[in-house]
Amino acid sequence: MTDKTDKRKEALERAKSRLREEASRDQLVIKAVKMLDEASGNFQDEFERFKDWYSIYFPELMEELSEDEHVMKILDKGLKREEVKGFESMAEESTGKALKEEDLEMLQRSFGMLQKKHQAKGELEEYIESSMKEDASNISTLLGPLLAARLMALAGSLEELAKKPASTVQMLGAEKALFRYLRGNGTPPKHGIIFEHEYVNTLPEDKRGKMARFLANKAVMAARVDQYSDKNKGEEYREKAREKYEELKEED
Amino acid sequence: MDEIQPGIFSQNDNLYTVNQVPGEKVYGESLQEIDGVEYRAWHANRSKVAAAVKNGIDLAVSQEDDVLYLGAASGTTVSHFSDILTEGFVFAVEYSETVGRDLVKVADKRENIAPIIADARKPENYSDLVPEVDVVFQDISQRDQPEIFIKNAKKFLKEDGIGLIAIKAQSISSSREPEKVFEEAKEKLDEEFEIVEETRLEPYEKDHLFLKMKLK
Repeated sequence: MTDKTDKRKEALERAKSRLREEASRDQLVIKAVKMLDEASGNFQDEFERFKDWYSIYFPELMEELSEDEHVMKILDKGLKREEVKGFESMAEESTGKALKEEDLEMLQRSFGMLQKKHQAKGELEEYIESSMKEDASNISTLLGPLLAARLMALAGSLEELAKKPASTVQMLGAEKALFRYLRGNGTPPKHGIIFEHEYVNTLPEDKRGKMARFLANKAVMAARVDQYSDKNKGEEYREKAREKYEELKEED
Repeated sequence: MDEIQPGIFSQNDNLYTVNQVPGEKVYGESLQEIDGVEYRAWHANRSKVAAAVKNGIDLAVSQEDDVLYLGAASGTTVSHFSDILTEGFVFAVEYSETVGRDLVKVADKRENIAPIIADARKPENYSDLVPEVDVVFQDISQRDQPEIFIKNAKKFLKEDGIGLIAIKAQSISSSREPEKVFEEAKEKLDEEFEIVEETRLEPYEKDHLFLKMKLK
């Protein structure tokens, strides 16, 4: 009994100290990338809402600019029509509604909120990029730090990602389609989130599966190098992926 | 209250264990005092062991037994074992730190729970914390569930001990028929164990099999 009491005490101590260990880099990056993706989605919705609102006042400008980044920059100094740089004549001719001072002010404050969110998103991205370069440089070089972090998030950790077969990594993020197929409905998915890579999504549809498979192979190898050694293989893998991409692009 | 198995009580078709930490709830379950004894409700749809008892399995766990519990999660079912084992211990292994934190909280208040945050695939990592036990119970939703169970039972289970396992078909294969998955799992376990009782866990859990076994 006392022996077991001691064992229980020891177990409790060990469990607590394990819980208190310093957080691992990959777990922090995973939280950050989830936050970034959530924030990006919200930002996009809110920005659409803002543009809709601002269009009451200056519809011509909103029609002219298609890139959100561009809108952010142009309106950076203020929302007043006549003060928007480079669009003076458009402002003069504008058929937008007149706004009272206080109405424009509220619009300005809402825009300020969006600017802050935009900046926070940028900071998150920088944090993820620098953390990934430190902790998972090879897979980051191959896929870009953000996509690499998203794959890590789907796998659960860098170690989990390194342990997965390439065919699984190719499908990460496409579980819904994959299981639908396994249950006997539909066609097998060719790629999961790895589709975000430009080498995959810029190819014609019938080549994407091949490229995704190739890239997933290299991604797993890179993750293994990151997890279990400190070699530098990222560049080499990226070069091979680029060659494959060129080859597939030129085929017909 | 009728004691239907050692430490397990039943009233109006509900299961209860005697709260070893009176006044404390572990996961929001209801407490009920009868003749100065506080009972904690043990819901069959929240605990696979409770579901197995409801479906007629005789756990054969007695109050001085020691139990190795694999897949302890936040310690809700573990806490009922802690109630039952008034003279014994439950060594509760959980892999995830997130739910392991809840388990540690439960163990802090109950002196017969030893929380172990470790991978049950590697029993050598906790062999110094676990003695020979009378019961090994496993509720781990992993594809290699039977293998993990065998590994641990061989290492820690007494020769005449009891093995209890809850198998979730979905986590072994999501595409094959549950029946086939269960057959395969049973074949694997059959190499080391004799299956003495079994039940499905419907209506409490979908496509789950519960086995009671003895070492061959």
